[in-house]
Amino acid sequence: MHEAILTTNNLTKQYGSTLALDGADLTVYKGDIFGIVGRNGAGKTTLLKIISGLSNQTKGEYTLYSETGNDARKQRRRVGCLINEPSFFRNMTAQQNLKYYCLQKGITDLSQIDKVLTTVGLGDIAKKKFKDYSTGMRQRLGIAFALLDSPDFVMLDEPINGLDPIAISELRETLFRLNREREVTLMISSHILSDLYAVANRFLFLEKGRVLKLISKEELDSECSRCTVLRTDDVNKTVTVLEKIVGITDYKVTDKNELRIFQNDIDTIKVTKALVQNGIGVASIYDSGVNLEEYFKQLIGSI
Amino acid sequence: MVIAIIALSIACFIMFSMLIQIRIGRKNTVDQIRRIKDQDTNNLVNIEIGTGDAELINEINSLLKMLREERIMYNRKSHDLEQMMTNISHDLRTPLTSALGYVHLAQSDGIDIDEQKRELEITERRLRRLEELIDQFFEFYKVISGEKEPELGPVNLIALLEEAVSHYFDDYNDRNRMIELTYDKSKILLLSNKGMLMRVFDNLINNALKHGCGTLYIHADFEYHEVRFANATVDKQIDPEHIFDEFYTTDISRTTGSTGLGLAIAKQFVELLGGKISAALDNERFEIIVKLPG
Amino acid sequence: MINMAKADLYRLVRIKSIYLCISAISVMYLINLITNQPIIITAGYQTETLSDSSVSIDIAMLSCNFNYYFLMLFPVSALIISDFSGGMISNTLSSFTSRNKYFAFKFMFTQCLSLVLFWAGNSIYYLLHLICYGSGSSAPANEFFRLLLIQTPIFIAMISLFVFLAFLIKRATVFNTIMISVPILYSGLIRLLMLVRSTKSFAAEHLVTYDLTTVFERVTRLSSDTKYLFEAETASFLLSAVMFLVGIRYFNKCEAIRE
Repeated sequence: MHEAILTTNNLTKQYGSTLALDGADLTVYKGDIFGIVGRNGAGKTTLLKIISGLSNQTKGEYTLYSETGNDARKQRRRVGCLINEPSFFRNMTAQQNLKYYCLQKGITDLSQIDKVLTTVGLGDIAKKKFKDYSTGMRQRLGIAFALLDSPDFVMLDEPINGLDPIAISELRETLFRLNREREVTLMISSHILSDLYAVANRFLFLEKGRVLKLISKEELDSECSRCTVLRTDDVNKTVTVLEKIVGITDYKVTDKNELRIFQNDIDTIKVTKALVQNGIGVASIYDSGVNLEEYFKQLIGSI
Repeated sequence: MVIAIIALSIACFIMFSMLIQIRIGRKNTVDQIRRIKDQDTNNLVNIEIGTGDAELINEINSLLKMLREERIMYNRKSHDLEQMMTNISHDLRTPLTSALGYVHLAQSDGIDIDEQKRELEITERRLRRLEELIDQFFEFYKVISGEKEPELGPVNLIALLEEAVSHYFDDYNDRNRMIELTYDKSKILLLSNKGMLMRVFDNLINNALKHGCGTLYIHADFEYHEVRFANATVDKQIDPEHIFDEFYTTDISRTTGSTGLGLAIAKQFVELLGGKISAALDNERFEIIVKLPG
Repeated sequence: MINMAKADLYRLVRIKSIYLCISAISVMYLINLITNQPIIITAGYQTETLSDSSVSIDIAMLSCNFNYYFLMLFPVSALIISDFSGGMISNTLSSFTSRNKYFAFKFMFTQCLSLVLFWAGNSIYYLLHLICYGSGSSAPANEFFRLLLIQTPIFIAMISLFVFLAFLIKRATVFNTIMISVPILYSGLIRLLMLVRSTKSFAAEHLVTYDLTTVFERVTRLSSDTKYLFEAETASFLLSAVMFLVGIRYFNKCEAIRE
């Protein structure tokens, strides 16, 4: 079994009367790319802020590299993070900004600055001032900052925000490389499941501060792919045929002339034959995964 | 006099505090090294408090980085090796099991001589496959342990390629595929090792047979001493950076009889012959380029 | 600490406000040297030192050191407020720096930087004044520097207050507005009270006594009055300590980043 890097136990955060985080339990293992999915205000940032030490929890505790409470701070050097939007000195270039943090952390090898800037793809615009950077570049500089002190565990809050599609795929490559070549464990939050799906291997669904679900990519895949889409010219008749003749009961009418069958062992040929024999025109029948966003919506709707 | 004493005591104080700073820094460095030694971490030594020796720390850090890289490489290799063991045992078992089955069949009573002969033929083919696998395995280890030193002699690249293509012509035909060999000069002479080069081409054509689809285009370039193998592929998971790693296969559970050693052997051989081999994946077109010394 | 100081120094030489501060100090002393008149920034009332013509100009200028109140807003803004308003504080705190350490560092570093500016400004002014007007119209060196040393604890208390308020307010515009408007309103109030009744009212008297302008002026003028000095210095030390302790406690409890 892999070593547990982060374990939280009933972590709760209260701002005034609102519960930003409500008894979150989770475990991140070494080598994970841990994705946190939730809508805006679901508690993603709050969770990351508590773990990064920016904010104190109201209740509960977390264990970072098997140290709890105040001792967890000793392990913080192994953690690199980008919380909230990336913020740096506006009048300084990317290089100068990182040099500032190198001095602050006491990093002796200043070639590290150019290395991390190249890693995130800012190598050729390192001498531009931060205020002239676009959102995407700022985001990348934030990631460079998180990587500066050769961390083992990197937490990124919405790193995909403001990146164009090419930059997203580059970022994905970078994260994969870090994970594989340097055994960096990653924790990434996003409100777009499909973006996260391409990167992470475990998923935590948050809504209103509560943990809805914690599943692996394989489980997510299997939960998302159990459906056959059927388009006919007469849905009502189709339903009776399906129930009476084919014996399918687990379905859902999703549109005027479309329904989805959630039984995974149906014989499409048999279904088509039965429908045609009963005078129903079949427009199309195919297996399909539940759209990830739909799955997410269903999950949120279920509470 | 008084001023001198004051100046002296100030100087003493400054020196003393500097000394303390250095001691604190040294202690901190040692603590960090201890921590890094105990943990499986990417962290490097920084000057956290006190005064540290940046030069010394940089040297320590470069050592730490090397150690870390080796450790990760080792972890990956041992993980790969584990997978390879499973792969190889499957690979060896598949022909062996089927050969045994046919032997049993041949041994059973009431079988006419023709059928027995046919079964023995199949058994032989299975055993040959097994032999080939075991040979490949040993050959690879001979190469990487440096037992094999190539003897160089004049080789005609085109003739060699034509010979290699001819070996596989039938296999490709069986699958309705083609091999198209083109060259800009009908004779390209190189100082190389015929056997090893043959093995390289063999492996590359075999690899394209197993994993590629469509026509295999082979082009020999005289000027650059290059041979390009290009074919279409549907496998999008190919990682051109790691394809030459030993035991690299994109699908572990696949039972097409690949050990993942073919390309690794090709790479080792080409490098032993002083050449270079590289791979590129552009959309669905996969290409391997072998560059040989003149 | 050393690392953070190095980093902040690296940053300070790359931003404008520290140069603005230095040039403001230079301009202030230059005007004084040219006009040979002490300059006080608050449009307040005439202090007794200023109306006393027997005091040499450099000592009179020293008594106006309340001017540094406005000048020191620059470094405090640059060192503390910018970290909050830009969000850089979260970068620092999410590394292994603890909040206690962060506050203590910012407190000390701001004090050091301000003290350097304060001492350097006054000393260079004294030398320039000595060169321009000769020893005849200048105070003796030991007298000038003795008074400067007496002022130092009060100055430190003032900076402590700044640091605390900076950590409390966190926003540049609000901080600057409050810090600039309060003394102006304060002196305005005193003048108003003095206008209402021609004789100095009891309230106005008290307000004047606790005005920082007055304190800076009185410790200079009444430097032989040990009782007053003792009170002023003790109050300064106490204020510094309280600001430090309350600040560190407050900062440990508050959210570092505004929502």
